[in-house]
Amino acid sequence: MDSFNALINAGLRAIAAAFSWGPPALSLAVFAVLAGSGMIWAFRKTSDQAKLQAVKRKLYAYLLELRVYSDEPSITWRTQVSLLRANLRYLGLALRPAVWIAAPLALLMIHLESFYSRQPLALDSDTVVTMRLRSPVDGAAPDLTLPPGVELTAPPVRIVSRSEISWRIRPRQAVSGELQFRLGGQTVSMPIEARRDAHFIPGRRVNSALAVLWHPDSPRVAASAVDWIDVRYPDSAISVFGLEINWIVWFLIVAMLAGLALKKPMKVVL
Amino acid sequence: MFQPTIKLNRSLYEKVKQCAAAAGYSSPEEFVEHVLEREVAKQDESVSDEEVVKKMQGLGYID
Amino acid sequence: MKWLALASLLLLATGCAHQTTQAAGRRLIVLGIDGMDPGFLESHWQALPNLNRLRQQGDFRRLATTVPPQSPVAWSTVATGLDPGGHGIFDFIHRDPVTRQPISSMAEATPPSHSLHIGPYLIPLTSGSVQAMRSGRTFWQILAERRIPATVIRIPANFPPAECEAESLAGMGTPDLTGTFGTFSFYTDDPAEKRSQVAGGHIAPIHLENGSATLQIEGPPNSLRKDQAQTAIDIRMHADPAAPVARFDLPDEQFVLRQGEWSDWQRADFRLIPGLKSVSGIFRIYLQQVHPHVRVYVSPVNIDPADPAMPISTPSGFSRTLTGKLGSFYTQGIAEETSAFRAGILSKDEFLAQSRKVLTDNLRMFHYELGRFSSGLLFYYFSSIDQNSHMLWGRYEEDLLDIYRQVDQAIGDAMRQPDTELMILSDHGFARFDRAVHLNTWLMKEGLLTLDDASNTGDTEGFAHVNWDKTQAYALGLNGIYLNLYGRESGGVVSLADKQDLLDQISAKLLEFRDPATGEHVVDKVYFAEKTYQGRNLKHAPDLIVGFRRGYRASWQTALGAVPAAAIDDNTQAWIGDHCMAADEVPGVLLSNRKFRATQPQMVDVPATILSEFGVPRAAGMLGQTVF
Ligand SMILES: [Zn+2]
Repeated sequence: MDSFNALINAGLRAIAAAFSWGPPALSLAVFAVLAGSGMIWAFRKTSDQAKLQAVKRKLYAYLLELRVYSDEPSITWRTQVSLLRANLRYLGLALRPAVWIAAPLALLMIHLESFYSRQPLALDSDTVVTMRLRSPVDGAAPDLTLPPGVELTAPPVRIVSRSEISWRIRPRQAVSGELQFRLGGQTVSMPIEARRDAHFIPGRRVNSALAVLWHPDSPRVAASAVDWIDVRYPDSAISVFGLEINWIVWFLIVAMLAGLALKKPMKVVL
Repeated sequence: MFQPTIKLNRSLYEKVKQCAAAAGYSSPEEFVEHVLEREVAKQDESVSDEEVVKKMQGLGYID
Repeated sequence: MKWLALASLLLLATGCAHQTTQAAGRRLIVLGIDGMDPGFLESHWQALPNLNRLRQQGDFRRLATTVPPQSPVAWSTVATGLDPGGHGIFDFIHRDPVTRQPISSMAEATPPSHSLHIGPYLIPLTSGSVQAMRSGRTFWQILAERRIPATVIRIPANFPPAECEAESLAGMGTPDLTGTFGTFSFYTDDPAEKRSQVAGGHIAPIHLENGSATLQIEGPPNSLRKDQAQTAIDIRMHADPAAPVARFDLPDEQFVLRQGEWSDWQRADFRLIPGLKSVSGIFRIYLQQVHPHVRVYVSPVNIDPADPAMPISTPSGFSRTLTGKLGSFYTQGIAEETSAFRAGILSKDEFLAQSRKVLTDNLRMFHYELGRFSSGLLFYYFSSIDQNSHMLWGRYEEDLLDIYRQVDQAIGDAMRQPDTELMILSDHGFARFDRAVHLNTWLMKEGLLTLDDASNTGDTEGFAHVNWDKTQAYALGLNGIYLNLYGRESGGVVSLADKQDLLDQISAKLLEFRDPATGEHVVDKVYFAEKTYQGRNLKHAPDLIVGFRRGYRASWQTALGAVPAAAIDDNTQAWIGDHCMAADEVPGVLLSNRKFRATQPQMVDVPATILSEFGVPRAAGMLGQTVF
């Protein structure tokens, strides 16, 4: 799983890097266009286009009927029922491609989160780093070694009720480095970004094979005692024409527009 | 789903009826309800004197 | 003759235009420094270089304050040029003449008149409102009408802010999100703490499980619910088992505090209807202690200036713009935490640290306003000297001087503005508050107030045990005595014909009133409302205003209508300085970088001067004269 994630990650980073001369909205738009065209292509491949075409024709026919016989209640009623049935049929036909599309789209979006949902740490302001253990917290907190330019500004907080340990750190200068934790003879690292232009900010680093599906940015924690490690980054928003919007909104809008634009040239029935 | 009823003596009821008609209420019930509502609201206000004190204590000049 | 009319019209027009440009190009900065005392300045000129330079290059005078010398009263006079009879603010605390119960003088909330019931919710169809109690037009409204740019930051008794085009931010009188003038919360697992309620705060016991506890922070009552249930948010606190440090988890935020540290501003949404409507508030957390017992102070929840639940600025988006430039800031009218200090929850040093935070917030905004000030008027208000003087006066001179020094620095920054006229004023000075006078008890001893049972003296407020049939006068607020007047108070017993005789009699007795402990006079001067005030709000004034000598003030109990046993007690509170005395005892200050012509300037002269500097005639009824 780690190497699979790493592969996707490398690909995404290459694309992001290619467009890093522009604002984040641009590279995100590129991803969205790719996703949109991918979705349209997958829809054509996985749906029964002929049947879809037939159902759609029927739908139009019923709508027309409704208009024409609007003053004859018995016909209108029957048409309404047929219309509902055709609608359900249409949804049924769209279900298969939707299932096919959902998984890769979710995978892509989970990966993109690290590029667009977080801002790097602000200089001279505090943030919290938390490690969740798989066993109760007892004894001293693990040793934490900070990269140069990052300070520890409070003693670690051992949270017995949640098996967590939190450190308060403060970057004093731009940093792209690693926090090194030592516990039980093992060393675990966690990337940390405090650069203004950082494009890729990995999120929580986890241990469990299931959790890594949601947190795919870094390889799984190898130390058996650790469940996850998390750095609290400020939330980021995408700036589009001076408007601050959530990256997912921008991504979905562009992906949808790309899909609709490609519908005709790719001869896809939606 | 019965509404609770309240008994009034006959002479008071006659007075209420006259007042209600004079004040333009559609029924003696409406008039009585209105008057009682007003009284109950007043009671609520006097309860909130303590609230007024609590509200002003943050000024520092009083305690 | 047509051409003549035309020509004169033209002449008039150019004349006007000339006048406006001249006025518009003028730069006037007025700094309102609550409680700055002339005597304190005179004994510390050397420590206050900017004020010292200002008095040498410009001018310095005592500024006669209002009767009574209370901030809402005095600043309302500054705002409107009216005396209290005109603007209608006579005290921090007024009374409802019918019930004789205390009400706030600064604002009144009106619930919406029509509403729709849906489940537990009560959806208002007309919006409720808050009304300022002050009458009269303010100088910045008058300037704005003439298109003279004006920015007025935090002038007291301006909540909700007077409607106008000028930029203004409300100050003293602005409530916290729960509608009080500031209620802090304090959380502890110390079993020795038995109190649940103190003046200006409430104390909640918490229970730690494995070092973690939930702190419930109360928001406003849910005005959309029939039962007005209190809204609240939960904060989880996790303390380290040994080290003096804890993590706080908020709904959208997480931070670590060491013992003795304050958090930044935190924002929280209090939900009224889940998913649809919420009210935003801001607060700060202070981790006072972790072991052996957790002690956490949470500031009153302030109205969020980025999304204000009540009107706090004009234009209404102004407070949001300020937040964009400066981050969150205190919006509560009086933000210095004197209540927690008085309750013994914060130490003096902790109080000073908190009040430094208020001043820091305020200075940051001041420098922002100075930086963007181009022309017209900038009025800026500082609360710090007043609030700190209340807690430090006469006992902690160095600490107080420290606050004066910081304000002096800000004044220096204003003095560096080029081609700018500068006026600095305070609303009153300060004096020690050693002895607390129970005016109602004194009235009782003089036979003017009667209890239902003579043994029922005590601290119960709201005249709970007063027999109104046998009571001719009662005291309420910090300087007021009211007659129990027939036709005004419900069940009042004093007839209009007897009114003046009775007032003369009370006044004479007050002037004879001596402190049993020292034999000294307690009252310096007694003011009759009808001789002191003019204007259409005169009818709401207390009938007598008691001008205490320095050292004396109406007791805490008097203010809200209690009748303790003794007529005078020692003031044992940490609140050791005050100014609610005779006006002559506690004058304010007036300084400028220009010479004054007025030898005895007074509050009403301030707005007259401001308008005159911009060539704007005074509004009808305004009383003062320019001081230049
Ligand atoms: Zn004061």
